[in-house]
Amino acid sequence: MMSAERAGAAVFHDFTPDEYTRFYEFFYQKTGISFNEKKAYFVKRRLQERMSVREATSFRDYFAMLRFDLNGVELQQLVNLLTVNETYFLREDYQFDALVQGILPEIAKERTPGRVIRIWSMPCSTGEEPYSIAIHILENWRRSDEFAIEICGSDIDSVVLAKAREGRYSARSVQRVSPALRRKYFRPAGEDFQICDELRESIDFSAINLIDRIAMARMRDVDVVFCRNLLIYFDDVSRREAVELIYESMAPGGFICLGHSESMSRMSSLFRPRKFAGTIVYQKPQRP
Amino acid sequence: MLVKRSESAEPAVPHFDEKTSVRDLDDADPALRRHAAQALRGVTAVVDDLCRRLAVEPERDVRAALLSNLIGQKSAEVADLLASIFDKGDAALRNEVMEALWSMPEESIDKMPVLLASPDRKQRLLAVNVLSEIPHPHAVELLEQVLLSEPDVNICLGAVDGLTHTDDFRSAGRLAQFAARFPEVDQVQFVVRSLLRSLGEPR
Repeated sequence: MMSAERAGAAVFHDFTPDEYTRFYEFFYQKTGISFNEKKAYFVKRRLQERMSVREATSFRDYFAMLRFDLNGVELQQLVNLLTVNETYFLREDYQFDALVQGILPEIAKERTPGRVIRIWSMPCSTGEEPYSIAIHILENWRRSDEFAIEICGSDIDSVVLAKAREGRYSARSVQRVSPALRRKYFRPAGEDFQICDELRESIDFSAINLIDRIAMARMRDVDVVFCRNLLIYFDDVSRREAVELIYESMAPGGFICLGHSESMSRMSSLFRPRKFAGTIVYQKPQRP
Repeated sequence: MLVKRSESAEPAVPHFDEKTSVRDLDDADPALRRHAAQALRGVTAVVDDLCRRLAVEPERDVRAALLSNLIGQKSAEVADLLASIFDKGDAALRNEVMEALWSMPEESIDKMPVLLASPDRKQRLLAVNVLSEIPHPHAVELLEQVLLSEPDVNICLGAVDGLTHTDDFRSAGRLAQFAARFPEVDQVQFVVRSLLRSLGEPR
């Protein structure tokens, strides 16, 4: 049984192992995200927060609210609380070098000028990655004007997507951007930096749950996927499914860039490793 | 030039019909076979159809979809079916079957003594390979048993290799017994001598 007591306005709940397991399994089924034991304290604290906000006096009440919430608002709130969103501009930019020095030239070789090249950043969090990709391409790929470059950013967290669309960043977030590039692509907004309208209006941000087959069907013929430091949060089964859905969304011959500690070879044999600008990326074969 | 992606239409929810999907598993079009394997996720009644297709499927990405489905439905029945198709295909299929069995340790482990007792050498070899990597506490015990009773020296050497992969290698006594079973096989004597030396055990 769960104990609950009132201390001022807050309600403190001590979850039983069974309650925690029920929540864990529900959240995993809905999102594919699994938490190890080390994260239990973090998860319970966030659950307590939501229970207080919703004034649920027992786990049972809150869990019922969560399961039968038809529009998924409560689940979305939890997702927003339980996912990690910290990032900054030009993070792991050696992969952007691989993009402009190797990947895009290879794609362009097979494509008529004027055609679309589609790049997908997922999870895009508050937008730093897709904007960084755009800046890096505009600055460093001399053929960027010959093609229609579509950059999409997706995340499961609706709050970070709203921030990405707004495009306003702290000085800490842009600290790796040179003063010249800051002047070119940002304007001051109080103590913050506002991304220029040209970039803000050219990137498509959308909410996508990576293990949702129907939602993932919106993404097709993607030439380059940036999926960095996401699959590490998935267990083996969800990771397999996620990788397959990403594979499905990609154009034949398309590329995927993972985080520096991730290796596709340990997840799937569907892709073949390629090396560009000293970094390993993975390519979907032209033919399986 | 950066262009904003035009709004894509909300994808239609695909109509799912179990019978049609099972039939599509054998369609000539690999894309259709792959979609069928994905559409049948979680349908427990079709695991034998999925395994049957996996045994003959030539396309890597279709096999990946079939395997993901089977791994997602992990059960003793799935482990049994996977073991039964182990030697039906090429090396890629054998590796995939092993990988799938590793990913369902609780469901696979009970199958291993049965495979180790099989008159079919390939089934015993599969068991040793699975036990060498499976994250299960009984794996070491079963591999040690192979050293004491398996008649095929190469399968025994596979078990020795598997035991060296375990975090807590404590099979020195079993190694000596294994060496005594095959006194005439130089390779066995060499391997055991080297391992015992590296463990600091006298021989």
